[in-house]
Amino acid sequence: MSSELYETLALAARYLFAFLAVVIVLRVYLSLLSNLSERKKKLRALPDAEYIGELVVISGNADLPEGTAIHVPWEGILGSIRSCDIFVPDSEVKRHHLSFSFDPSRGIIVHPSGGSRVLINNVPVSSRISDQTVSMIHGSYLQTGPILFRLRMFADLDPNAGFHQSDAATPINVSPIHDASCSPAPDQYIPTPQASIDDFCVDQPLNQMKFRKISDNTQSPLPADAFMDTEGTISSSVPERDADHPAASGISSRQRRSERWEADWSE
Amino acid sequence: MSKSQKHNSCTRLSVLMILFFFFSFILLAFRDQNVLGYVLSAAVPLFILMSASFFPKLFTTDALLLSITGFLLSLGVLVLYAVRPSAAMHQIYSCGVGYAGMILCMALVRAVKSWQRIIWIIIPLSFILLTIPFLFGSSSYNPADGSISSITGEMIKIILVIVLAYFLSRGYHIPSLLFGFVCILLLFIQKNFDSAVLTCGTVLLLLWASSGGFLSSLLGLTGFAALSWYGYLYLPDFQSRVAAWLKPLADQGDSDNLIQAIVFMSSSGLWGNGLGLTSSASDLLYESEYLFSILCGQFGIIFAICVLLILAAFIWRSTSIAASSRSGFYGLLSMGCTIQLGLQTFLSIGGIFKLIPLTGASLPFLSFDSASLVSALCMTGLILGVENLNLEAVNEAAHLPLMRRS
Repeated sequence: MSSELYETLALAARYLFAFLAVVIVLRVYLSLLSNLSERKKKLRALPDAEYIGELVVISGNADLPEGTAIHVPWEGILGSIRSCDIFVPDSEVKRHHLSFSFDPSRGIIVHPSGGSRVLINNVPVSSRISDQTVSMIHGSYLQTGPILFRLRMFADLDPNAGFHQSDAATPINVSPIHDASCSPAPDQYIPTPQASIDDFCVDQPLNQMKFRKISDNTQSPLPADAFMDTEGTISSSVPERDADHPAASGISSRQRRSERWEADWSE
Repeated sequence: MSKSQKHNSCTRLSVLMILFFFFSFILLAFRDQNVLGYVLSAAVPLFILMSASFFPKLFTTDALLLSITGFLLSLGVLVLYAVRPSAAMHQIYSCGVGYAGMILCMALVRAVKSWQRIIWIIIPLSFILLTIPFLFGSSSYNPADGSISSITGEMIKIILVIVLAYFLSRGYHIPSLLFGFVCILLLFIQKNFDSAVLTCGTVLLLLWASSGGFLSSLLGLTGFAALSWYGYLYLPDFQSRVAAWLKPLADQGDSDNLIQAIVFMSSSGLWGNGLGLTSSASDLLYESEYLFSILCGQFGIIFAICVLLILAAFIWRSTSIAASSRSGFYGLLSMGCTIQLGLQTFLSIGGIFKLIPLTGASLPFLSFDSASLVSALCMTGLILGVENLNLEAVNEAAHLPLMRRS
């Protein structure tokens, strides 16, 4: 090809290349934005996707009433500032009170900050204790300052729990929430958004605890007299744990955990 | 958007890219009457198609990021082929090695469950790598030659990100600062300024991203300022770069290439001089910092701005992958890689436009710098590995028993 012909072609092709580049940029950004909105829709249809459970307030304060359920992410920080993953507004809770992370084989590993007062199942935990011995599983109690929580973990997060995929609800197709085809089966049991005190009654063995079929999604806190004893005073002590309670030792056998999971999620 | 819609979106994007590269390489093949040109006009579009369609399905990862990476790699090969075909072949080999590294890094992120043992192996390895140039390297640092200093500097970038992500995710700020400072100091002494500046920026930004701590960030910034001041006072290479930046017309050394690059860019206009019509660009080629000016000269300023926007889209996508990560370690790992690539882009473009002194940083994925290309692809592999874990997490959540409905 002669150089003059090539030069003509190359000069003409400049406009084509610039046009293609602009269109490519537009398509890239359109794809970016559509991926972002798709992800948001997906997560809206799976509101619990990024969490492993909830911390339910058993004994709280004015800012954090009893019965409030706080989502627990896979890892994060619990503290008294709003930027923390779990925000606990109390003067006795430090700004970064403790950090936690979820290990599927062990549960939630808790690392208190230096000088923080943390009790798990009525056992004080200090930052010097090895993380091998400190973990929370479904039903464990956590006390930070005067606030007492109990952990409710979502089922099927632990593959060793004995709750197999075949026993689970039919996997749902992720779609926007207005898609009617995604409604759950009529007999599918969904736990109440707020725990009632009966669900965490310490006199009741954990494997007899039931979750009710929901009738509505209202999130009302527990009644004020939920913790009142027979004399009409609110109990401030942490309920004594059952020695055979799986959460007591922090380590539960596979068989007991699978029994509890099946009991928890059945009627 | 369903899976099929997503697939169509990336397919449409890849069709546009294929058209661009097919016409470009065919044009150059007509110019040279070379078999290589015709082979590349088929091979590069095929590579683009595989990047957009086949690889994302094979590795279950982000198709858009792979498409953008494929586009940028192919563009680098195209620009080099237009100026010097032998350089393009060298770049293709580097791309092959880099792609293998990318797949390895993706597999590493998926396979490794506990990074603790790996960390305590790679920390001493990093110090060994940093001391090798003192024993075997040359005193001058030239990335295009693939000098030992440049190779070890690029490997350190990857190790640094992994180590920092590990320490910072566990709240160990002081060890991460110490490790970063030692790496920066050793790179500074080797006169590997671009790696030193990149390392410093990565440490500071990751520290701030992980903790938001004012004191630790201030400490890091103070250290960086002290090192820069020391370099300006006592290192001649450092002084010459600053002098060339401040008075390019007065200085006769390093600023010659910079002036040539600026003139080259400004003479290209909006549409460029034409693909393959600028032979004087080959002198700038081996200075890997100036590839952007060659790109401007060949394709024009509109095209160059589009390339910058595509690089920005890469950074945006990587940042959203880091933000969606379930664990702090993986979030910081992908964020660290994103910061490295973003800073490298800024240092390269900023140096050419005289915003900042030239550091020698090359444009990621595009420049004629094998070590930098391989490390950029490895970092992309780490980001894609994290995205693979993110996708797995969302798919797992879809199979959990239904907990509540919003």
